[in-house]
Amino acid sequence: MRFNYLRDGAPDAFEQLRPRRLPEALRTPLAALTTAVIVVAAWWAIEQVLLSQARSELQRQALRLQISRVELAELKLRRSHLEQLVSVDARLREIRRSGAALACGLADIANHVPATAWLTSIARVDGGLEIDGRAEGLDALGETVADLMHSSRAVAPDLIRASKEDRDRSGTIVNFAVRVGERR
Amino acid sequence: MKLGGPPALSSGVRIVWMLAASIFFGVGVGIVWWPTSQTIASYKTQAKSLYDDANQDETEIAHASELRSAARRVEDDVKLLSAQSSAGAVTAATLRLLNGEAHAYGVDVRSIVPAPQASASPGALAGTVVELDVRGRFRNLLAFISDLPRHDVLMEINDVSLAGTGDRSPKPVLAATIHAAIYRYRGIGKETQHASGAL
Repeated sequence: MRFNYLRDGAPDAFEQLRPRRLPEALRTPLAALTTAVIVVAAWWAIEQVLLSQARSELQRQALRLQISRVELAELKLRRSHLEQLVSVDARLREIRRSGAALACGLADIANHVPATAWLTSIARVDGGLEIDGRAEGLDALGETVADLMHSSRAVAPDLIRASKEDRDRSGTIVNFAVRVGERR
Repeated sequence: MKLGGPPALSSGVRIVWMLAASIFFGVGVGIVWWPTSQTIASYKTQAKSLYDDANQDETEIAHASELRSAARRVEDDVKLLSAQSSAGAVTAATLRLLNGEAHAYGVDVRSIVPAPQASASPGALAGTVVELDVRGRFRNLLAFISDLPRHDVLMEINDVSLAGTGDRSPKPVLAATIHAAIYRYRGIGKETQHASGAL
């Protein structure tokens, strides 16, 4: 490499690179071309960063959804178990109350029988109860049927039969059978 | 633009300008920006949808603790209500119960007849139908019937028939035929038991 310190401080190698060597008309378009290449390269790099961020966010959300779906499936299983438990619990409570409910029904029917009549049997028949008893005359029987109509458990009392008792010396005792529907 | 110089140079300038323009618009916009921005927008839309779905799921999951405490309460209640669970223990407890209740309420348990077929009780309860023949005064019978299902045997009273015994006293003894079902709590299915363990 040769330097001419008197004429020019720049070495020949740098001299060769000077734009002066390029034709004047090409300088601007070449600068524009270089700028375009640099800008597009930078643009591409930025876009790649943004793309990678979007992709990783998508993967993160997909993983989060997958985890939540697994937990949700377990939760649904637990909910189904709880529903079964609640149903069993309701059934157990119904069983525990069954005696009291039935006894209340019988007591209610008995409480709606006037003093002039008494019951001899209560039996379940299709769709209700058949109540057998005795009454002091037909008035007492009528009063019994009327009282049963006000019972909270028995509905629509229906007289099945009524007949005077043969063994009764006074001839006033009437054997009767009444059918009632059950109110639940 | 006015280009001077020889024709070869001016066409070279044009080519460089066109190259610069095509790199910027063709490569920059057409190849780099447009498809990438479309892909990014699509990723963002999908991510937003997944985010919303996950949020919805997590809101539901947040109530899991309430569900857990409710399940615990109901399980305790079922345990309390279900009483004996083994068949032998149920039979022994039933006989002990009937004897105790008969003494307590002054009634006479004359017969206990288990039906051969199990009662219709799908699911967690296994039932056996029983017919009891009991004698006693009306109020005693009612108290007996009312109290039977409240003890350590899971007994459901389904039906009662009362009939006279020919007793002509003011408080006559009645014959009651009680149709009952004695249940045994078997627990719930294995797969749900597993879930219960997870609770």
